[in-house]
Amino acid sequence: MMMAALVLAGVVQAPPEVPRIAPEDFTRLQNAIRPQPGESPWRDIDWMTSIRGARERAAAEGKPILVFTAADGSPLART
Amino acid sequence: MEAHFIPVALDTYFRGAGDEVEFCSKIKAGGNHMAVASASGKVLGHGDALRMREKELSKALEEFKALPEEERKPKIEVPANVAPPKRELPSPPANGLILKGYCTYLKADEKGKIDRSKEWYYRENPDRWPAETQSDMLWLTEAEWKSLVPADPKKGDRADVAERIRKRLFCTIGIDYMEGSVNALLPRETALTLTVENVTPEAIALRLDGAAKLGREFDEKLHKEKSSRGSDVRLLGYVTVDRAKNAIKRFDVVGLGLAWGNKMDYVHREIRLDTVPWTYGIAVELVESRRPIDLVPPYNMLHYGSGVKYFSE
Repeated sequence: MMMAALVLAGVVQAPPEVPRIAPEDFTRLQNAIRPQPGESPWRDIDWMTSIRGARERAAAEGKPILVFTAADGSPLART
Repeated sequence: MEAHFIPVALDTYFRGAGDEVEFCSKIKAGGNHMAVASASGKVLGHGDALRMREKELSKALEEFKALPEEERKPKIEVPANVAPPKRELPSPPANGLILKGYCTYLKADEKGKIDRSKEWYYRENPDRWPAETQSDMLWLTEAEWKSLVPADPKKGDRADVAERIRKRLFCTIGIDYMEGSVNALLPRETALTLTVENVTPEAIALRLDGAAKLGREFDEKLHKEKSSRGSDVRLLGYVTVDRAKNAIKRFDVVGLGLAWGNKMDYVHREIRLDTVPWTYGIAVELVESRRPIDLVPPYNMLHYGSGVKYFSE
């Protein structure tokens, strides 16, 4: 009630209303929000998350290690 | 990729035990960075300038093949009395639920139909790159997810979702986190209900309806202020419970939101948008596999999160 009064008085701006999600629109929106085909090929890589484990596997398999780091969270999630 | 390299992704904050920290320092792995090295610690390829492109990775691979056997296949020994990790990598709660969230920008067309919107990092820059769908995790404890399952379900029954689940869902992955390191927003109002849509001997089908007002209240002038993020979001979701296994087999959520303001100390957005508020979408889904990538902790469990304990009320 107080908020409505403040909005009417022009003291507080109200954002536009967030649209409701119709059940018949659910799958279309879900597909639009999820990563798009080909958008992030790095998501398809089977990353390890332990450097010691990666060194052990690299030594056993005779392969180099590709290290992907982020300063602010995991590079596999939001950074 | 896996045919030629052992790919490892590290959150620099959880770098591991003493030998792991030492190895990362040796190969200069840290920050927003990519490096190729032998297991012995020899840096290969372009060093600091390396990107995940074939021509650069091929060079690193050629250098690796030219190394002597003892560099390519060294004996890895963990030193005795190695220092434990300064910060232990958090594990998902035992028997808990792991959910994965996605976030992207959306826009409405002239008829009001909402769809994906292609936006750019530093769009005025000739080297701009498209803003990618972001992802994050949501962890629920066993007691929390079990609280979502009605004991005696009847079609049409409605129940409020516990406040701690509501807040965690809305405040951490119900926000616009397209610029990545965006802290959780504090809630102003949250509502989330579960309605029983169908009951069979095998399954309970539930619908999730919710809405929240988060962070700062809307004001167009907030684009000049630090830490001024706010958003309104509305959710619709479907949850299916396997009654025989007493397990959640589906947890699909879609959310539409309007967002405004600036994250933390940034007042110049890396992704310039033409409208305020702007529209974003979130999706949430159940993670059933348990690969390392599925066990990455939620962003807001890290020290630079909102300062609110992740599993607190």
